Amino acid sequence: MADQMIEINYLKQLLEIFDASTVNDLRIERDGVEIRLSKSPRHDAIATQVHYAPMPMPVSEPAVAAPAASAHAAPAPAPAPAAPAPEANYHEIRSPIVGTFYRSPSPSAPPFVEVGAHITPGEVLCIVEAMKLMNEIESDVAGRIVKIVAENGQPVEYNQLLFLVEPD
Amino acid sequence: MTNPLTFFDREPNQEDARQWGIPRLAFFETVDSTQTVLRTLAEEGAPAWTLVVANHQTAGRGQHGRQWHAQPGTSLMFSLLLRPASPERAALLPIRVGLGVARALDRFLSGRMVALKWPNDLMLNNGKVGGVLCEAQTRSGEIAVVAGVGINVRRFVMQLSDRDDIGVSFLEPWLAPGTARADLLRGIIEELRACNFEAVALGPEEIEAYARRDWLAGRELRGPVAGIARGIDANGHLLMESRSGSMHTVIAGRVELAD
Repeated sequence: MADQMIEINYLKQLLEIFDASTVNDLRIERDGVEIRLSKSPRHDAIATQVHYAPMPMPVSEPAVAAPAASAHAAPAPAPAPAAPAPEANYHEIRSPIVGTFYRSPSPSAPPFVEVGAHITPGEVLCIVEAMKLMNEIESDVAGRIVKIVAENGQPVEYNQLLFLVEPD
Repeated sequence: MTNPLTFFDREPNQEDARQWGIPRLAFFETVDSTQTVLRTLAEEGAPAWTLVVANHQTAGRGQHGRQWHAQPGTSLMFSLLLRPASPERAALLPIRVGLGVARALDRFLSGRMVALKWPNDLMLNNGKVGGVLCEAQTRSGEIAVVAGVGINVRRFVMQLSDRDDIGVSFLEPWLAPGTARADLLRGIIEELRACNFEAVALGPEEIEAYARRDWLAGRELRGPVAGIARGIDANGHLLMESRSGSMHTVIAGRVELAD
């Protein structure tokens, strides 16, 4: 019990120091316990993105099978430099307003688009509702949906990323 | 003699449209949804204030995607096309259309006032008597807002796919004998035609007009933010006072009353 308390305090201090630092990723091994900390939630996004991307990505370590507690997927061999490149190739569709994100026109209707769908300019991808004004958000490019970033029924902020599209 | 049960004593026509100051009117005895019809017309370039009216809808839609089934001949259902000049103006349409419809209905209700439950549910006698659903499309920078209005005129058994925590009400008990739904529609269109949709923020007179009808004001809510409703701001956003006394602005989300 006492040991556990120490661990929690240790973890708390570690998090505070980590938060205040400019370090993005940290891995510590102590007494056979591994602690991994990562600041950028984008790692998750990128990992998924790689998963959905058609081919040229370093799908080399998909097995990742992250030990349950680990927040980010790719382990050791310095994946950082490889990651930003593919994202830059994707077209981002962002929310023009604050509101609630809906993937379908009504709860019983199928979603406007799924991952992998080919979309054309002007095609409706989702609705962002604010004050009972249902704003249809359309694609401004032709391409394929690589990732749906926002959650159905959840609030989205102005300029929040909604979809990643791989342009034709 | 006209009668709310028959909806219109005759089908509204282009002569009505001319008298009401609107460019085009399409009437359907039965249609899936006036919203769907008008959205198609909007995509084909229909002018602002194009009006689609139906005696009966087979796939009417309400808030949060709820199916809205009214028995034939019981309700006033129409969709109106608005073309706001900017997203800011579009964002205010739900409030402004709700205010205009409420004001128009008052004239038929012998002294009763229609209240508004944020943002624009129409409340009468503490029950929901109607609602407004606005859908916006943007094509090449031009915004089209299809404002759909549904009003319970004659009493019928409401079937909602998802129960609301608020009861329903109907205009009929308070209408003067012989009031046809065509009369209500004309009153609403005239009122909306007189509205100023141009200002990019609600003016003090609009905020005050809303405050007089604000059904939520002073009520305790548990969602989308827990606290007491304290009116709206110039953007039409709902102001909520939390238990600790801090103020929150609500832009979206489902209003849920505390028990």
